[in-house]
Amino acid sequence: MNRRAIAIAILCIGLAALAFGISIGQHEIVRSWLQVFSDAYAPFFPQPIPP
Amino acid sequence: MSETEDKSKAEEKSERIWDKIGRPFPKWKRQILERTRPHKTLHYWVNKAFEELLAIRIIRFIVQLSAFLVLFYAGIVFVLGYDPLIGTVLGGIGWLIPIFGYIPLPFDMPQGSAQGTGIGYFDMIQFMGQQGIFPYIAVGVILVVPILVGRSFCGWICPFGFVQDLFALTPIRKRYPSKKWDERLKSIKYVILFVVLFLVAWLGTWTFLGAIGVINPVLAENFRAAVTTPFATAFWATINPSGVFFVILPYLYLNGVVSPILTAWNPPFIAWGFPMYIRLGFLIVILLMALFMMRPYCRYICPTGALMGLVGQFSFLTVSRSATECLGPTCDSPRCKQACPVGIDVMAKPFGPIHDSECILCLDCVAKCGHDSVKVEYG
Ligand code: SF4
Ligand code: SF4
Repeated sequence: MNRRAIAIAILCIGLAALAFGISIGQHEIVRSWLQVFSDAYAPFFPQPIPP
Repeated sequence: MSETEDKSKAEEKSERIWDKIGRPFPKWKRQILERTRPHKTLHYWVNKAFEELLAIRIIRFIVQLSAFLVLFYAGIVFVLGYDPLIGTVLGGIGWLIPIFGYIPLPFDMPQGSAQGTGIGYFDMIQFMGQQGIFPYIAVGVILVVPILVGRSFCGWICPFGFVQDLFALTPIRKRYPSKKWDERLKSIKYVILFVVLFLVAWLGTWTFLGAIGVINPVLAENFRAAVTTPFATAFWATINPSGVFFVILPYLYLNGVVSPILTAWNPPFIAWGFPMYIRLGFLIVILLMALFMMRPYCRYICPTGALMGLVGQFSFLTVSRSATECLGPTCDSPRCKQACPVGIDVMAKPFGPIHDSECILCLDCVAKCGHDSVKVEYG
């Protein structure tokens, strides 16, 4: 089969997986990781006042 | 006498090959064609820019060095749990780090820590998979990124690749196994990849079945704990020399400053002891090998690279050998072939884009070809 067709098919599957992952909130894992990371900086930045 | 005979034999042979693959335009015709070519394509200008700067290698070195410094520093930030340079001129480069979750670093951060799940998608696949969660984002990234830019991560960003490139700068003659053995050894990385993925899928299935109540959840969890305990945290992290270099050694050097980030590691793997000696031994072997050949870890072992290569062979971004420029078998100095750090015989590939799962898009072959034949291509 044509390589480009395979490439486009893989690309579509990948984008679908990404979209689905984000729609079910898997990116939160990365976000929570960022959270811990930004905690490392927390002392150096003004904190938002909790409501 | 014999020399001239050899020469004419070689010429005859090349004539035959040219007849088989089709003869390029004669040079005068090419010149006329080029002078009258109405539009220069994007490829032309991209390649021209590279050539004019004649600095593919220098640019790549600078990119690699910057990536190395950022990532090495990031490792230290992780180990310490804070940024030791903040407040200084260099402070705060940590903001570059959020991209980690989306790039395929070949080293594992301690799994179980929040970072561990975000530090590169092969680790994400391992860590989430063995918990019975299908890692959609990681799988999505591994499908999309290498299709768009191939394995250029390996050639341009990967800090462990850079370390190997540095070791290769030593003026020691590089030696490689025979072609047959080279091919065989190259398949090791795929074996490692599939064993790791199989273990992850197997364990993930049990955990998933436990979670949805098909089997006893306590049993499933105990099983998972029993299988993963002998390993650092993810299967490949147990031995991964890149992880030792970028995470464990800084950790031990910094004397294990208490960091919640690293508490998820199984203790034997972050202390001096038998497992550590094995891991360190493996790292040293790889680095010694890197003195005698280019990129031994990338060629034969790295499962992250293998995973990217499987998808990356369909990449839009490739290097391409031109049928009209390449002198083929008559080339007096086929440097494209000698340049390749991962041992791709560029000349043995058919004309046009080189789709090879080993190609790390370092562009050394583009830089080395003295006949303007090897170019970057997108599409
Ligand atoms: S093969 Fe692995 S170690 Fe080599 S450059 Fe690619 S990710 Fe890095
Ligand atoms: S084929 Fe060219 S771009 Fe690809 S790895 Fe070899 S030298 Fe680098």
